[in-house]
Amino acid sequence: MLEVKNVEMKYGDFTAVHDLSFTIKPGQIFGLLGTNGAGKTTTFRVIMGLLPPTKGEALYFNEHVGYHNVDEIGYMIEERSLLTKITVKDLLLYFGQLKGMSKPLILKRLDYWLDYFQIPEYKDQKIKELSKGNQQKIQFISAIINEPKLLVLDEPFSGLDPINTELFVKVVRAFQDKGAMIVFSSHQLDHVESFCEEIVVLEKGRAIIQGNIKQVKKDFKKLTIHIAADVDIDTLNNLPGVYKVEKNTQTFKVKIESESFIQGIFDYVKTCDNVTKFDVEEASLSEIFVAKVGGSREQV
Amino acid sequence: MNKFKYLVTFGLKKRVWRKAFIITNAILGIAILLIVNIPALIDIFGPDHEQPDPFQVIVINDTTDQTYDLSGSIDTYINNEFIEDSYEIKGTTYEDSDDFWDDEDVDILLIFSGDLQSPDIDMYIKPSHTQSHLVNNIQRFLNDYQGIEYANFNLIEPDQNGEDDNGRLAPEDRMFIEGIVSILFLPMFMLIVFATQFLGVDIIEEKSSKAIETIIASVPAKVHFLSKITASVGFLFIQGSLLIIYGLLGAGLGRMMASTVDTEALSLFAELSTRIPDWPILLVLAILFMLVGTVLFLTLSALIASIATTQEDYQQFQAPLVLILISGFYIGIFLPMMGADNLIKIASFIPLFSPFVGPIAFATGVTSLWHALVSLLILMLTVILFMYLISPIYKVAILSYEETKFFRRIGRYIKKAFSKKTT
Repeated sequence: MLEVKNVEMKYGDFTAVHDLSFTIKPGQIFGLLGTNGAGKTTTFRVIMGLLPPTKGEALYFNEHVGYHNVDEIGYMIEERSLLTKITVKDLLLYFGQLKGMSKPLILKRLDYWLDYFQIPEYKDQKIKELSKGNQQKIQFISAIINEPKLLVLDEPFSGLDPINTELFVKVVRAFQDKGAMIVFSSHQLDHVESFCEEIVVLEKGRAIIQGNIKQVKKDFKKLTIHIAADVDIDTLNNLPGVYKVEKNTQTFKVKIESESFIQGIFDYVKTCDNVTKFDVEEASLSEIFVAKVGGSREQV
Repeated sequence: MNKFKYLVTFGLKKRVWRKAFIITNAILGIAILLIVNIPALIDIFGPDHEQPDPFQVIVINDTTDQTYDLSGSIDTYINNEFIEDSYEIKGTTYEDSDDFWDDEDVDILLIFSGDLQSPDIDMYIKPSHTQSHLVNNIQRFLNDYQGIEYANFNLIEPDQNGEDDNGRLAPEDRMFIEGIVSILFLPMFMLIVFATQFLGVDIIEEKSSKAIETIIASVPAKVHFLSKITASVGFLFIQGSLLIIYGLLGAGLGRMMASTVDTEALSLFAELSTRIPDWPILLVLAILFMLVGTVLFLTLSALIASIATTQEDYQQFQAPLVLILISGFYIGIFLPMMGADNLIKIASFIPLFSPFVGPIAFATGVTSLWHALVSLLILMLTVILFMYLISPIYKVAILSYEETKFFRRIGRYIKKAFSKKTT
């Protein structure tokens, strides 16, 4: 289990993370979201033991992450952190041996993962000769080569095409099935929504959304109704609980404050001609994110 | 420990047996073979390969001290292997200088008169032999003559305090060492510069590519810091050993050339061992100064590389360190030539200069063995102090990508490093 308890991280007078707490259980995928500079990378560094927090602590199975247990952890940082002048094989041998692995084991696993990612021919090529996507794959392999129990992934999908993203997702799922804990950040909220159970959304170092995704959506309350009918847009706008109406080519997207206003809108739509669609949808994570982060920024 | 060992091995592999290493060593090897054999090569390929007839010199001792073997002294001084021409020096039976002009077999006449401590010297040279190098050699002897005599007399007669100048080298030996020191200390200087550069570039490569985060997530910053220094010292040993092998090969080649062309082998090493009786002590001192000095500069280079965020940053920040290195080297070479003995003594106690100045000062007799050992001790203590102070700063700086001005940046890192230490 990974427990982040009341972590505060200050750089001089600047507070990068305020009183952050969350828990990740074995077999759980946890999403850490936020805009650039929100404190995600700092949180990852605290988890990895690279930065001692100003207050609070991060515990991995009730111990601080240190050099005694770091070999059980895989860490992939946001930028491509590779030594570009050496070959793929040399780099993985370097990083793998720093994780306490033996040379034959590294080479065996490297061959497996290169085959999995369909790039076995790049084993003896220099990193700088690889495309950005393939460099991303190598960096991902370097994070998982030690078969970690805790996988910390900072923007693992950035720069990947949908096919390769799917390959990454399958690997992450496989580690989840083996009982590993996975914490990752991403700007691609559809990925977070598709396989995270728990999330924290950071804004200026503070957790502005936190908890189980289903609960977060429920707590957000705001809903979207997709309507295909001959409605009058002004009438829709003036109905109680409606705060925004967008007209698309075929449908109207009506945003309402809460579930209690659905019936009133439905009653109006019933009076209109050519009704072909009345679909109520929970707000997407992306909408919640924009709404919360935007709101947070307006308050500042 | 295994990770430390692996980091050192990886660091060494990155530098040794790479193309750049092989090419550099090929060039260095050839250069050293040539440098070591310069005297022999000049001897073989020089324009005056055939030995000319010696110049005939007559010396008249008209001084108050008729017992002194003046012609013998001049003969010893002037007929050494580093003076291109040879001279046959004799005492005289001339009545006066007219005999010299009449004697077709004699080229030069030297008449010494007055007190031998400060003699008046008349030098007669026949017009057909007034080549500049000949005149220069004779004049050099005349200039040095009084100095030699003064030193010799002092050796014989203790001064009023009962002390003597045993530690001092004879002027011609010192002149020789001063001349040769730049050649011998150049590889040492180059090695330190290479090792310093390699270490800095290695660290900044890992830092600027952000690979450092993956590395520091696996090994402590202190282990990384020490492994980089150890790998660079290892590189220095490998490269230094190769330089010694090139030197020995050069000496062997010199002997071989001497035997095949029937000329006298002129080895710098042989000459040095003759001129410096304490050469084994000097060798040990030079190696220790070099080793400890290298660690000092490597520590500073590691600090600079950890503070920089990009290669450009590093190149800019390390310029003062390179300037200090160059200053130390030039102080070591030029101050002895200028006779600035007091300045050499002071510089040999300053840790940033002492790696070069320390052994040179000892070699030229400016400082005693005790003086050199104290200087080495100060250098060692400085290295320990620097490592103790720099290690926590390195730990903070290596993972930081702050882009503020250098001194502001280092100030913040120092504050952070030591505020942490106290908590």
